[in-house]
Amino acid sequence: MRIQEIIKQYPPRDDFLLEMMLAIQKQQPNHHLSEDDMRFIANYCGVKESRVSSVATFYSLLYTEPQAKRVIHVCHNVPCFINGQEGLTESLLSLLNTTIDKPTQDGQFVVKFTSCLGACDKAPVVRVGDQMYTHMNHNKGKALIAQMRGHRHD
Amino acid sequence: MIELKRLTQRIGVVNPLSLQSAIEHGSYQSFLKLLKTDPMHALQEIERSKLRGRGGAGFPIYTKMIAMAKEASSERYIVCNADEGEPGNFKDRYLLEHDPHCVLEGLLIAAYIVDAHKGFVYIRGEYDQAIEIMQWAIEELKEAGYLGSRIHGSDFDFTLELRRGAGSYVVGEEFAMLESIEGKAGRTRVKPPFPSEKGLFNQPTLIQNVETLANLPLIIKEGGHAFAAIGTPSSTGTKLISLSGNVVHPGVYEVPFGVTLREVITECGGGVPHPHRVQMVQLGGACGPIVPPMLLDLQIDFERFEDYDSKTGAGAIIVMDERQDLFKILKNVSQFFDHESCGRCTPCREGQVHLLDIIEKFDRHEGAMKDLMSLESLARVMNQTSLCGLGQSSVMAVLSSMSYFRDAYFDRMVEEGGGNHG
Repeated sequence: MRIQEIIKQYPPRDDFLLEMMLAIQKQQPNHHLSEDDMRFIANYCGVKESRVSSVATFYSLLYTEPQAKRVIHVCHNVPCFINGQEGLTESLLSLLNTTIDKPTQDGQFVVKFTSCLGACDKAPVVRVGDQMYTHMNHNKGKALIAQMRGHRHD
Repeated sequence: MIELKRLTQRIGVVNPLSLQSAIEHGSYQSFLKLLKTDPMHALQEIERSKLRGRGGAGFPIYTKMIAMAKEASSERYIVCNADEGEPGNFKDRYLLEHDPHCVLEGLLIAAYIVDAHKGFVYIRGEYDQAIEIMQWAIEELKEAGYLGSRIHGSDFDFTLELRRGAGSYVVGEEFAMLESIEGKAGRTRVKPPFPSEKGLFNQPTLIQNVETLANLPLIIKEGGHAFAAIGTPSSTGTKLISLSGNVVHPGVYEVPFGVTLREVITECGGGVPHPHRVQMVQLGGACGPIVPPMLLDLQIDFERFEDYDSKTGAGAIIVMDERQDLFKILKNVSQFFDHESCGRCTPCREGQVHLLDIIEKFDRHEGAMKDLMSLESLARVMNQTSLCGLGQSSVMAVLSSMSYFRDAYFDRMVEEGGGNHG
């Protein structure tokens, strides 16, 4: 869907900014809000671009820079931390041959930290897109990456 | 067994994706009964129930409701705070995903009492499944005439919208949440005025946590006195506990107020894995104190917890055995707050940076006596002068560790500064 069509689902009011931005970002191939997107949203709502930008840069789930195709969010708060999150992160990074926040060379993956995902009883947990993966470990991480690589053309 | 399932009694039985199933299991009976009565009677029942907020601060719901009743404005809102971002808490998610109608019925009851005609459920963006389930539940309610105008033949009109968060811890704070619903960055406002006076779009607004609202159908059904018979005199009813960390059976457990931390950890959680032992427990989440095993006989009760500068409100218990290192935990907590500070006020914004810096020194075994002194005064200033509750409570882990595990700081000092093991 084009962003013109997405945005029409919302009234042209600035209290819908977050909802519009989340919806538009989800449709963009690089999962981010470009300057053009933000200008478009600002015009639609009749507010200044700086108003839109102040929201985009405040929230962790809104990105103003292009992202890898798959963002692997690893929770790094205390319950996950004490259940092996550090080792899990290291193994994901070494499987992908990259470092934290740095996209893989093929642009397919990036590993980022996230705040608590609210599944502390199934720690450590990882979120990719809108899917949550619980009780993670090296082998499950390896299988997950292999599975996502297999679906890279979807 | 110490568990007492009241809010969670239908979980596993009711189909969360079916309003019909919820109704068959008793949902909306309290609300429909209420529609035929004077909201002031219901407000009295709530006063008698002595229900306190389950989101963290433990504020009596009656006080917020009566404050709002005094406001004249006809435009008034209700907000369900489902922005459960405090690390270690997952009980709201549990309710939202397994019995959404229990929460929504509570929301409708509260809206009717405070005469709000528009409501919002604000769910954090990370809770994909809860968002989907709640969206579906709201749609079903609309179709069945539980939302809209003249609900079930009464003269009560109410519409409800779901709003997603986009990744921000501080938005859990009530004013920051209102800013976010208005489509702004989630930075708190100076209070007073309180949300019950000038809240969403500057109109009177009642903000209540998911679990708090889920208690209302019970109070209307049983009456306030019967509700208050469970728990302790100062903390009535049950509490959902999010139990995590080094325990055999982590999970959500519903217990009456008044049980001890030890009972929850051993009876519900099966204790720490053999052959390990409890070294420390963090209460409430990242914003709560870290306490030693000698305090495990503490009762889960708002007043008892306040004696230890803690809040039971959110109800997280994070158990750590002797394999965990206090300073790694403190560093983790401090990094979290450094990242999540909204930047609105100086003590929190600047303080987090310096606090983390000092904790890292101790983590590297490079602390000195002067660092301990600086840490103490810095944490106190942040606690006393930050603008919102989140900034104020962000230092609880550090402050408590200095009271209960002071020796650990001396053990991490470099030789020159570490001579004094007093």
